[in-house]
Amino acid sequence: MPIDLKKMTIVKAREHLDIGDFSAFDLAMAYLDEINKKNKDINAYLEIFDDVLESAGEADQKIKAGRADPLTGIPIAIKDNILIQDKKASSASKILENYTAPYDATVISKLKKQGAILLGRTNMDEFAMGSSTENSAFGVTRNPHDCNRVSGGTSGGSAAAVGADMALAALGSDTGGSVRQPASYCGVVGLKPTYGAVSRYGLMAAVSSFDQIGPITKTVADCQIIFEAIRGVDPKDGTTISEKTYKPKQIGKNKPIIGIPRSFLNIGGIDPGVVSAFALAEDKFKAMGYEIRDIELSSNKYALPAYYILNFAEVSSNMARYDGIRYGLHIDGADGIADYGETRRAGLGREVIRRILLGTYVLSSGYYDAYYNKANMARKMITEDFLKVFESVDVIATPTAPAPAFKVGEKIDDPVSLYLEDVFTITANLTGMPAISLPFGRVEREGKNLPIGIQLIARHGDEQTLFSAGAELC
Amino acid sequence: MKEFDRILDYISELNDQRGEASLTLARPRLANIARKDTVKNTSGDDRERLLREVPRKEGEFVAVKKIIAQD
Repeated sequence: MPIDLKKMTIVKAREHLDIGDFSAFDLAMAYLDEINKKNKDINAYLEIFDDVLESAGEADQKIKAGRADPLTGIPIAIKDNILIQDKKASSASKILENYTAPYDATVISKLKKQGAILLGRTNMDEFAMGSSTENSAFGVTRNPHDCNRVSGGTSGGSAAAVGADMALAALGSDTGGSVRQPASYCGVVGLKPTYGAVSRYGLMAAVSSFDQIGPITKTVADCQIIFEAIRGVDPKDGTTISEKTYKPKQIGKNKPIIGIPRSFLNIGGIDPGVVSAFALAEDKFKAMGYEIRDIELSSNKYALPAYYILNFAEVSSNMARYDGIRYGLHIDGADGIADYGETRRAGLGREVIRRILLGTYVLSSGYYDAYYNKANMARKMITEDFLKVFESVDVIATPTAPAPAFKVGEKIDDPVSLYLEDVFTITANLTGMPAISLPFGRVEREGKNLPIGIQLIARHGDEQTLFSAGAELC
Repeated sequence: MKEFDRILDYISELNDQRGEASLTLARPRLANIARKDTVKNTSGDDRERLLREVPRKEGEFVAVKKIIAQD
């Protein structure tokens, strides 16, 4: 049967593959064709793997033998900061342009074990620093809904690949909204799991106390399938948690109770199209019988400065490993110290260097208490605020981003306005709580219909409520 | 870098949280995670794969410039 990529989901593909309507080989071919047509304009992929059809053939044998797993034969795109053995992994940086991964990340081992098809590696902001994929050393990823606009970031390539039907699903990583915001811009679903739910072994560290790997998919059901496949305790990542670590308990008798931080949404600067899409989502939840409560999150005003202080601080220490000695680019200087300087100057982009400098500054003696310690205190206060709110609601709803996708180049010289993009998403990273972005509503700009995302945040360990409420909304 | 001052101004907003007496240092929830002390890879192919990525090497060694010089 002909394959309609526009309407394809993991759930549907599984049915068709299992009854033999088409093969994993056919499906992989269909995606490769689509990538051939679209990738030169969108630049979602940095590389298409040369063994796609080979793995599709292996998946077909597994399916024929009746041993198919949920992801056998499902074509998936992988963000360029997740290691796949013997494939390049560059984090969209010049310093790792020719780096070949010596081992599989745990999430990759799990996907391979199920027989998923890894299509290629996707573009991103260099080392996951940015909000638009404009910080990639290999060119911007453009939005599939309007090529003049950004795909969001940092997992822009992954979100654009799924949004443009160049992959059935993708993995991204989320440090401050890097899965959810691009998912919102590209009209797809993106999940940031509870901190520790998914192993980060083999993920290049950006901000270790925030980073989580998350799925980007077309539907909530697909998102859940990928999440179930990649989650779980991993002895190689000491921060991983088990399903028993948290015991979330729903307060709402029938349906989860939804809290809306009303005053936070009235801070101004939110696009009218986003405001009306959010109001429609609220109405839809009400019509489906959900109780809506207004909530206060007064510490939210500290979230952005605290988030960025901690981001800079952790980035500056995590980036120290790119020294030009053990792997990656090496530029020879006058002596050993000059080697570091030359290598890092040639290999790292503007935003990465900016954050290393700022991080070193906020951690330096004399400023440590004013910045880093203050940020940690604010983080604790915000987490306590959220935990308190979750005594009276089950879900917190906000828009995912303050506006639809902006134009390429629009914010490139204004880092602070780019940082403000993350205002709704960072609290889930500061608190470690799970959050999902759901495509809901559109807004017309210059003749193009741009997607809007609604974000739901839940208690630690309560992805289930995000999936159930999310599936009902869209 | 003119953006530096703007960014520092912005993140300094945190220092305006006056009167928040309840602000105390975060005490993270920590637990010790110990791994079994066993040799996992004896074939040496791990080492080979890692060495393949080293930009400057001599045989099986990572080559670095002399750090301490004798006068």
